[in-house]
Amino acid sequence: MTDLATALGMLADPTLIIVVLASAVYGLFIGAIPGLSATLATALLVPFVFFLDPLPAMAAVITMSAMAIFAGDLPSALVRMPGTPASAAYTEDAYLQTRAGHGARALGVALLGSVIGGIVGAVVLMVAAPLLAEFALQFTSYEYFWVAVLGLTASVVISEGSQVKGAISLLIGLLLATVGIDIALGYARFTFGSTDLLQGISFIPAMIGLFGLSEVLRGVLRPGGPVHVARLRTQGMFRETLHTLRRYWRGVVSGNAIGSVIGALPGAGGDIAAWVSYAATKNASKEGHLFGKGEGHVEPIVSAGSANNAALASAYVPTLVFGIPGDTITAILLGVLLVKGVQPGPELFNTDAPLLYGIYLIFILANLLLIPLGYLAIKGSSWLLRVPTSVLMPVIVAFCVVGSFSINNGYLEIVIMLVLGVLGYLLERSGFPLAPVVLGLVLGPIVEKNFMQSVIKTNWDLSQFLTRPISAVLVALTVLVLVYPLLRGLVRRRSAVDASG
Amino acid sequence: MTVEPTSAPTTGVPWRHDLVGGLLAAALGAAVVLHVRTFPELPDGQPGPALFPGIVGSLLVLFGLVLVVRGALDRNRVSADPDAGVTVQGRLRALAVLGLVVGYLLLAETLGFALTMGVLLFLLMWLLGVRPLVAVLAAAATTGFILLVFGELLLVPLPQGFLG
Repeated sequence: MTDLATALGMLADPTLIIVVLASAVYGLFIGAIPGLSATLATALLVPFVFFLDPLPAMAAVITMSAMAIFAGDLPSALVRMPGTPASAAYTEDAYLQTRAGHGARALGVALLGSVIGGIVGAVVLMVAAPLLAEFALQFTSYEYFWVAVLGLTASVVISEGSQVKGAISLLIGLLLATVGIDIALGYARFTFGSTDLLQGISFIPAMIGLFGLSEVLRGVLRPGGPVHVARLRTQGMFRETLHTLRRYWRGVVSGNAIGSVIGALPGAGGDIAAWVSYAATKNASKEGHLFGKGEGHVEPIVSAGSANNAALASAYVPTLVFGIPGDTITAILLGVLLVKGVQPGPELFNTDAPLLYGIYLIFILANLLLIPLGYLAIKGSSWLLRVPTSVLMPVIVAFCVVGSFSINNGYLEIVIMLVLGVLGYLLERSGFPLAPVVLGLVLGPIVEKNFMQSVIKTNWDLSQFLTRPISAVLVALTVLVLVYPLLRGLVRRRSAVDASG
Repeated sequence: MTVEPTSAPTTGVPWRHDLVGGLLAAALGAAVVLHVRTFPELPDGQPGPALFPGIVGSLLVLFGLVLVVRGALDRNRVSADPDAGVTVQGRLRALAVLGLVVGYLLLAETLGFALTMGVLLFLLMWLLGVRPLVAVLAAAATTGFILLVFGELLLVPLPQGFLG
């Protein structure tokens, strides 16, 4: 109880309130610009939060991302371009709804659906994280090794498209993580004589490059023409929205459930949650034939719109309990926390309970704040969408440069940002997903450290990796994750044969 | 949410991209495997610093080759051209973006942050088609904002150059 009181006291800090409000406005702005993702917004925010204490830093990222994911729905409904990839699943429906004169309702549903999703995700985090943490207290280096391997495996298996490409992306991330002093002998690897590289590839400039610069490159290569922004009438929006949410309450429930589960998987973010939720709702709905056609349909906005925000919060479960990020936003945040000396893990639940209560409260606060600010954003959305990208892109590049520099006051960081920016662009262009690169970069050192510690203390007795009970369960889970695509393929083939026969 | 990287179009690229991507990955992996052979071992002859990058390199070779084979087997697939819609101007604009970063790296220490960033921002906006007056104002406002927030508020020692 005293921890909760301490957390509440921390929330009353004026600095924190200013940080939350400023990051909320920033999140709404970036989220509403088509092509700029919440991950990019996080990467650009990091140089600022780097200078804050851990709780305000997390508050900034949490508030900003909740706002950005909702704001991504604005251009979906108004110009048929998802503001963030998390809105892509139901962009067609939202836009068709606007064309049919139901734009305000579609956005109202997206707004309240996001708020409900965010709060449910936060409750899942509050309940699941401490339970898992208690279990994880029994973990030793063996179990941590397997948890990290499980995270890496899951990130590849759930990669959209080719899993071989997901694996290559992951290996590139793991390779980048080996640059610098090694854990076993202190030997300098892949530094090519540079003393600056001894400390390894700085994580934050790497993220700024992968998500910031690469996105700018994509943006300037294919600039969109002038866009026609649809008009909205927001009168009676909330009344109609509440009525719609009552009518499609099943969609709210399933969207939240799907979002909460998928968000907690390493490497799967809200965009995957939104797609899965869309497909599940379409299969289950009596009105599935209306999805994406004619006037569009509000049901997928209800379910997928809550799923992406629910995933946002549940991604913090593995991040806080195991130090294994659930999505790219938490991956970036994890990098910041580690630099600031906060080591996420089960011990955190005993040693820094006020910080955790603070995080839970921030989630609730951010989502409640989304109601008035989101409403204002809907009212001002046509103005938001008129910001010219030809001005915005150079400004983002300037922030990428200064943001990378400010982490260590060094030019090497700018070079890392530049190189990874080009690499990120080339990888995505050839169909290699970027999320596994990040996971590799974050989890590589964890995998190697725990492996080397384990083998050195047992003089290379590898049997311990398999015979310890929790290790054995984690190995079984990893194998299950690995064979899952094969099983799914077999089942599909069987049902296709049955259907044709 | 997010997270965008996972939403990248991961299918539908021409098979040549798989071929080139796979070969590059395999070549990188092979280079890593060869390089780590020079790394020292642990005192009792057990693998040390070379172990982890060695495994990663070997897997890169393996998956790179798998991608090459799959690309070759699937060479008749219908795929969208990832370069569709990219014009010469588009490429020039992308080069200009990279030019801004490289230009900053080369000039910032000598000319200082304000002058270098201000001029480079103006040039880039102008190249992207922003009217000169708007470009001057936007470049000045951005530079001023960064100086204020990063330089004054967050105390980042931005390069001062000859003016400082």
